[in-house]
Amino acid sequence: MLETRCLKLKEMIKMKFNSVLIANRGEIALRIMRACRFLGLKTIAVYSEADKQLAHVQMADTALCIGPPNPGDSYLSRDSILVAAKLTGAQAVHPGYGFLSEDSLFSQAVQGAGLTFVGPSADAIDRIGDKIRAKQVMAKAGVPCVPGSEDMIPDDIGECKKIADQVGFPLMIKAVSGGGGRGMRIVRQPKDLVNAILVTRQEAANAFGRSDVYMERFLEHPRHIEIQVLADTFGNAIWLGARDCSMQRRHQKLIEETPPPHIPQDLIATLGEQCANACKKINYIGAGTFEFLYEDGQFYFIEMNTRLQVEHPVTEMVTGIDIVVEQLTIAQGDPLSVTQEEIRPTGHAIECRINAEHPWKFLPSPGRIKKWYSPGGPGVRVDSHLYENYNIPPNYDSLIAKLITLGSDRNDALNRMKAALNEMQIEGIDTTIALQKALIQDPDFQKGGIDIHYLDHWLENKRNRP
Amino acid sequence: MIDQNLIKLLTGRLQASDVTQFECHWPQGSLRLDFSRGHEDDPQLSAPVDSNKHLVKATCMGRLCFEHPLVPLKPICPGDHIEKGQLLAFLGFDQVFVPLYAKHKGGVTRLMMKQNDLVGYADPILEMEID
Repeated sequence: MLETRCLKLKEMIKMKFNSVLIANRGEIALRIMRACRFLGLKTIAVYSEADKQLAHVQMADTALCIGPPNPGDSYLSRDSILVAAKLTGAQAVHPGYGFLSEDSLFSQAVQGAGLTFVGPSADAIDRIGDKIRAKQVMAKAGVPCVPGSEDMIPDDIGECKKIADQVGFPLMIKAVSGGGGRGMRIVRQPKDLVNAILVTRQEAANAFGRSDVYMERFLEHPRHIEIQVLADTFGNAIWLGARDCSMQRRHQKLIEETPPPHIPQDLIATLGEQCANACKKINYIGAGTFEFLYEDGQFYFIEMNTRLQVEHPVTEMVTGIDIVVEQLTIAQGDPLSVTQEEIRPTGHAIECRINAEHPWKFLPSPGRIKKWYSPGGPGVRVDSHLYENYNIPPNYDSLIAKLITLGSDRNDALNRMKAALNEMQIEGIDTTIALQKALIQDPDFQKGGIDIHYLDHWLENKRNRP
Repeated sequence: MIDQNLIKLLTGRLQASDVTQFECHWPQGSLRLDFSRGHEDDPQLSAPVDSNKHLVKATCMGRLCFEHPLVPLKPICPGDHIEKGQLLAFLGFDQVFVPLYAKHKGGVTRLMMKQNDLVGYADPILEMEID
């Protein structure tokens, strides 16, 4: 099925561009390069001085060092990437995830330079990137949102108290520009409200340069559920199932799976349709992810990511759709290769993120890989840029591999994951393999349906145990 | 006297830009700020190969130009002797040509790039033996 669709894709692509600059590094740069090669597109790798050894740099048709290791002087430098694109004759830029992937100025600059940005327009990124505007847009499009203030809260404390009473306690004060768990505060009682607003405003001003905050009801035991969407320039929008990413440590995802266990399929289908319709209503183009909290049978929209997600492979495993190839197809100006009716997710997929960190203390562990053995067999996929003697630089994110397994059901996928984690060998640095092995065998995780606070409590209990 | 706080503020703002030199004249006097941009002093860009050998590396991306339409420049060849501060080549992008100067005096032993080659940041351009 996948092969047939891929052939169909190759035939239909009209080639608005035939070379792609990959403005990223690590496993995702390699992943994008593979998709480009599959489509017969020339690849241009840009890298920092610390990244000369990266696998995709060696494999690219053209490779160019764009600056020193500091991300601000290389991967986050819009100007450097645009200069590199001009010098190498790139016709399109794929931003991957992180770095400049959700930077509207970058998207605008790429398009302003006459190149194709493989992602949404600057306007779409701006509309969705602002959390309050995003909530307003989504509510209007019929997507359920967390009850809260409809706009940023005013300076008048009396007004804030009135809004808080309407929202109900416990509630959260959140920075409009916040993210990654920063710029938010829980308020359990009315007496703590004023102080929480003032402190969060100050924190937001210092961290994000903008002190605007808003109010939202705090959910005690939510799960993190997200919907993957794809939308083309012809007004087609589809959803590719839901992912459960509740296994998080300090808001950083560690394990993702699809479909989410114990959530009725009809609830997910309704939500998926709402997300696809929202894409049409807001003229969204490209790949995107709607993130929700799920508690007591209700979904609440939290934000939309206007880019490829780290965890996209689990969706690919059950649907057979290559999301990066679809992104490139959409950017070429071609229609999606599949319709909603053709999407038939099969089986269950789980992803474990392997980080170069101590498994229990989480200290980063850069260094030389002395041994790398990648697991394999049916239903096992490894997305990684590692190889023996590769030196992991200390300058970047610690994600070094994504181990994904597919099974006929969740139990099957878990058993495959357990075996694959045992098979995977990385020597020379600390990794989170041991943590992942423990989590995969944890009885509560095996039952399914843990909430987003589960891992933090689990680690705390582990630390307190004699 | 120029206010110290103003100098501090100006320095802060200019440090965040690509400006290397700032000069301003007031009726009371003049202010000149010289900025040493990290790349020039970056040990990576002038790392010695061994005790005497030295690699001249690119300070930015560009197309290597041993010639310039407005500046007379004799292309460097192995065996040439170069002086400290000598203009060696340009790194060109569109109409911008960034000069590449010698940091040391010595003899050129090997050219590692040729005219119009695509050069990345810190790519070695030539090898020389320091006097």
